[in-house]
Amino acid sequence: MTLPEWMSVAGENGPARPARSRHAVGSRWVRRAANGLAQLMAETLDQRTTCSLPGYLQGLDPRAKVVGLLGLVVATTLVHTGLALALAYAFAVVLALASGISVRRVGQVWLIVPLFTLAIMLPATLNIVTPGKNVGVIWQGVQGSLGPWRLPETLAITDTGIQAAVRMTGRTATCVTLTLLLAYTTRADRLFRGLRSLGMPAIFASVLTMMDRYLHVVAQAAHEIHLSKLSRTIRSGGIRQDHQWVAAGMGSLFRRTEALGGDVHRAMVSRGYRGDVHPMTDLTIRTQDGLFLVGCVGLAVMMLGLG
Amino acid sequence: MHIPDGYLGPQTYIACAAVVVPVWLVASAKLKTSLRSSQVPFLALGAAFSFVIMMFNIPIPGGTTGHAVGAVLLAILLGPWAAVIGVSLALIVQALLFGDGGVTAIGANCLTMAVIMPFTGWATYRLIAGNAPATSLRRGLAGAAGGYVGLNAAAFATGTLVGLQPMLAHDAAGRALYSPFGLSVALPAMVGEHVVLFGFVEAIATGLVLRYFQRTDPARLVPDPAALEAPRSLLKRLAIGLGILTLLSPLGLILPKAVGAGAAWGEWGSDELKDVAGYVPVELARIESTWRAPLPDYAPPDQAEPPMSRQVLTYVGSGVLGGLVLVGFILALRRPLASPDRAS
Repeated sequence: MTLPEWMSVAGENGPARPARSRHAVGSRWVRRAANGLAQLMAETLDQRTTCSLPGYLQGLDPRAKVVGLLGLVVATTLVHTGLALALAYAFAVVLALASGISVRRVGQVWLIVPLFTLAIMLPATLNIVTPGKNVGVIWQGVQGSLGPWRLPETLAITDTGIQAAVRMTGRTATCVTLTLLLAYTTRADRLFRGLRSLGMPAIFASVLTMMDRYLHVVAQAAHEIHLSKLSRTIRSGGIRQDHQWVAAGMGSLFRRTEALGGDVHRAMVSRGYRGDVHPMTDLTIRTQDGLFLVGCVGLAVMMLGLG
Repeated sequence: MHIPDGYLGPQTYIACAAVVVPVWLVASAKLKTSLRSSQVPFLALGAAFSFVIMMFNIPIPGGTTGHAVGAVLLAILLGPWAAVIGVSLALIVQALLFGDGGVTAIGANCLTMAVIMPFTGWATYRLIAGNAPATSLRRGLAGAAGGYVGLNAAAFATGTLVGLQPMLAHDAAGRALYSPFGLSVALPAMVGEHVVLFGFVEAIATGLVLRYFQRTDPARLVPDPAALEAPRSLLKRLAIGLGILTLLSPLGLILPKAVGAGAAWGEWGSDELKDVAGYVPVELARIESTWRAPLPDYAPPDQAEPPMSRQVLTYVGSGVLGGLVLVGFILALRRPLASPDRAS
């Protein structure tokens, strides 16, 4: 079977190739964006699934989790010893396992921020950033310059530099793990209601809840925009056309979002919305929430004691 | 540009939150009067849009891609206060639900990307776009310039916050407890990549989306008549502020005298430099003599030690003269630089 005439590009030998080919590398970025959006939607669905699993943290009141886990995040940013950070991280891992979150998922957290932090912190292990006792010499006795910069005579990794890098990476990993525990064990609407009852202005809590609800819809619309581009791309039209397509995509998404906002508002008004959102269930603090809070406060005090 | 947890010490993240919370309250109050009951879905969808727009890849020559923050675009389309709320909420959800940006750094991230970025970008856009018609090219270029300036202002603020950490939080031996990179590393690293690359990505996204609206929905970009009045009152307030500052300028003369401070670091004349360094570099002495200012050091000319009252008067007079010269210069440039659209 041969391609019809109209699918061939005039003036070139052979038929035009589909977007995946090396001749259409210009569409890789569309595929990457579409994959990113699909991943975002999958992640939100995955979070919702994990939130409904039977587990220790899932059974707690969102306010207790917000105060306890975010309190531990703050405590983690205040401590500097490896032991204190290790305690907080171990506590987070135990909580994750008790809540049905797999070790793999806890490990995946490292791919988000801590590895990035480790990469950024590598130069901080050097004596030119963090002076200390040299534990590994990279070069010595060099005299020269690199453009306007004079090269140091000795470039070495220092013990204090390694400590600083490990501390920063450990601290970041612990904070991200604690924060994601909250996200993976608390439905967004309950999380924002918890924040509301802890003093967040009502308008913020309502907007956040609704934003979470429609984020999936807007992401889906953006995903469709990218898929339609991919499915119609035979070859790239050049960067100028690509830029115009991105702008049209963003503009079109804005208009769809705005129209959806109007539809949602009219639907809310027709159901009796007058500016206040009333939750259907009440949040209640039980003994297990109190025990969890006591545990978190105790750990935070211990961490601060260790310094 | 999202700062994670652990990079900023408590002094910084608490201070940033203290700055951002009042801005949120003002933004919330401003929107309450303008959006009424549709505020909740409008803002929620605006925030979701702000979140998703960050996931659009924008191709860059050379085969790589970047993504826009979209804060300036949102500020131009919805107004800066709506952008403050929309981008802030997107950042809060990113931090709480996706671990992108730290929970303790929410205040800092919102300050840079949800406050500094939309306001500087929007002000740049307004300054350049002026009263140009909705479909003019100037308005599209103004959007691009706004995106570029806004993103770089946010990058500068982020680099400054991170770079201040070694100074603000260190142990007894002087070692940093949080981000170990000082301003000399953090600022060039953060600002450099945005000035050279990502600023242009933001400019392309903002400018081209505005051009898209100019083609498809120009009514959206028609300047609000009330807003057009604002520059006049703004100019009046600026003039009053400038006058007050000019009158207060002699404080810079009186206070150093009162506390016995020397010349500002790096602003030495050759005689002061001789005291500091022990000699005057030959080239410096040669170049220094090429131009004689009419009012050297904002002081009366040809008087070694004039009385303080005379110095103060000359100082204020210098401020007035400098201001008038600058205003005259800008007015002289206004006509040749004004867009032909404006005359219509």
